[in-house]
Amino acid sequence: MADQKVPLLEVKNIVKRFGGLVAVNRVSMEVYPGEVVALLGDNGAGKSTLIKVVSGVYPPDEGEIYFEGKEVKINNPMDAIQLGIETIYQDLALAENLNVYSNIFLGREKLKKWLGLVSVLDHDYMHDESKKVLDRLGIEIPSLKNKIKMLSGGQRQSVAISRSIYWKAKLLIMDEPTAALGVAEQRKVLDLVRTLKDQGVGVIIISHQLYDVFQVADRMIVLRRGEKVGERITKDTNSDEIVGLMVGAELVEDSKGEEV
Amino acid sequence: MGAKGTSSADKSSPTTNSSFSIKELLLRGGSLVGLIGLSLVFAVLSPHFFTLSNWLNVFRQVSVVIILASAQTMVIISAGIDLSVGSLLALGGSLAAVAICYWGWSLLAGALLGVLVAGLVGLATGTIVAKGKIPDFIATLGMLGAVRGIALLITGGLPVPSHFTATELTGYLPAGLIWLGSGDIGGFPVSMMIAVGVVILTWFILNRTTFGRSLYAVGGNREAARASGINVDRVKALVYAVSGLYCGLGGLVLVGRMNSANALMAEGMELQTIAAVVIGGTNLFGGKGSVFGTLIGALLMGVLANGLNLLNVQPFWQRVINGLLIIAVVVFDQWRRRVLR
Repeated sequence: MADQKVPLLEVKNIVKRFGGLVAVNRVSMEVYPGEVVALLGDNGAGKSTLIKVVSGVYPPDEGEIYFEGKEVKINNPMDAIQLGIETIYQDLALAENLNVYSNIFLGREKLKKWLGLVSVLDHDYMHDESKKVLDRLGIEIPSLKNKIKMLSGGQRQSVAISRSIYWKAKLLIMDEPTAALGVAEQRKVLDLVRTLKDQGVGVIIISHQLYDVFQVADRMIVLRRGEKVGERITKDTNSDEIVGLMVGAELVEDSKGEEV
Repeated sequence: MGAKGTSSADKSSPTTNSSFSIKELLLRGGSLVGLIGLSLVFAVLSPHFFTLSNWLNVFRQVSVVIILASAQTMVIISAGIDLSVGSLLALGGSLAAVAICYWGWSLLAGALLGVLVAGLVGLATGTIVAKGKIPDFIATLGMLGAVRGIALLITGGLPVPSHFTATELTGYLPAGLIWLGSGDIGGFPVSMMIAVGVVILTWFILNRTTFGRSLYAVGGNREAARASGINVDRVKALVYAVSGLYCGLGGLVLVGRMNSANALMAEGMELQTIAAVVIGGTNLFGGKGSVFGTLIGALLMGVLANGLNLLNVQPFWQRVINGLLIIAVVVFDQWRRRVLR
């Protein structure tokens, strides 16, 4: 929680431009171990761009990133993964044409020696390890040889989360994890987030569903047009205030003094 | 991969009451059923069709297509397309022949040169696609022309060896090279064994290596692959390099079969390879497919050409039938996917 001194992740004055458009403008934020931070904002506020900077999809144009107190450069997704930053994207989470265990091991396939010479994929190992992590999290999927395409939205999200857990994520970033899920599945995903939090994992969550956010987040950061316009502790705020910050109602901006 | 996934889907979904019907057979067997069906038709129509020597003949004719189509399968699975395979084959084969016949290189050195240069040109194409961010179609279309031109420059537009340029010292293709294309081991064509070996190698790459997994991932969801830490640019560059190496090998086999190298050989073969891949059930938009399907697809086209020849069908009509076959197969495949869904 926030009483710990060294943040897990700290970003300072991050700027990301796309041509003339400034998608993220000098945004700073931090996440502590075991803390769930929600990133909120209307469409185009820069939430997704900001997390893609952290996860290595878009290297930032300006700004610094500190992970566990040390300054780091994250130039590509592998850099982020090696630090322990796992990301579950709403749109590009999994390769739908591959099966469950191939996705859990995608980009980090387990190899074995074949005839002592050639390194080949160890399908059995990957299958069994995936099975273990899914069982541990109480996730039921009929066959891990099924392609992702054949799974429900909730099952897909569960696979993506298990992948992060299997690879011992220190920081998990989730972009709209509950969008397009049924009610029971949403609850399941939120339970998983709480489980991770209890294990000391830092979580950044982007969601339009304020109800979900208020259930799991410790702290909320609101972006508008690429800039950070507010930061609130969940228990000290309410959805009216947050919505006000998101859409930029003058009233709210006047009443609180945390604008950047 | 592909076949396994769909068959397990079938088991879990309710199927029709009849345990065996023509529809089921078509649905599950796909192009293999087409190949067997076509073979049966020709067997009935021509007494010469179902003989061992004729089958070996078919294999000899399609072996080079199989080698190139195996490369094409990998490229297409990664959501690319390689239009330069025919030209790369001509470059590799011509360069090897020129090195051996005119520069006095040994068979092994000349063969390696041809294969490696084709591989390097493939790597260059792949790098252009990956780093230049231009569509695969355009990059390889450009290479189709450029590489063919280089092959013409190397050979001076003449067949190799040619009686215009050959001297007494040099000028003949070594027996070893001819053996690759025309030789036999125990009555089976060497070229057929090479082709089958290439198919098995390709299966291995696709299903048992990290690179193969990356090809499916990049073809299925490029962004997810990238976000998973796969170096997408590297995978794209490499698959074209591997394609180039395959083309070089195909060039050696074809030169061996024709007993001569020619910068214009295998013109239009890129379309045959794409047809074989598509007939074999590989998704033209990437992410799904198998090299065994491609093998069946290439054989299907070979059997069709062979059968029509045996039946004395005019070559002009053969082209019409061939073209219509490709369309028919894809229509069939669409139907099959809709029903299996």
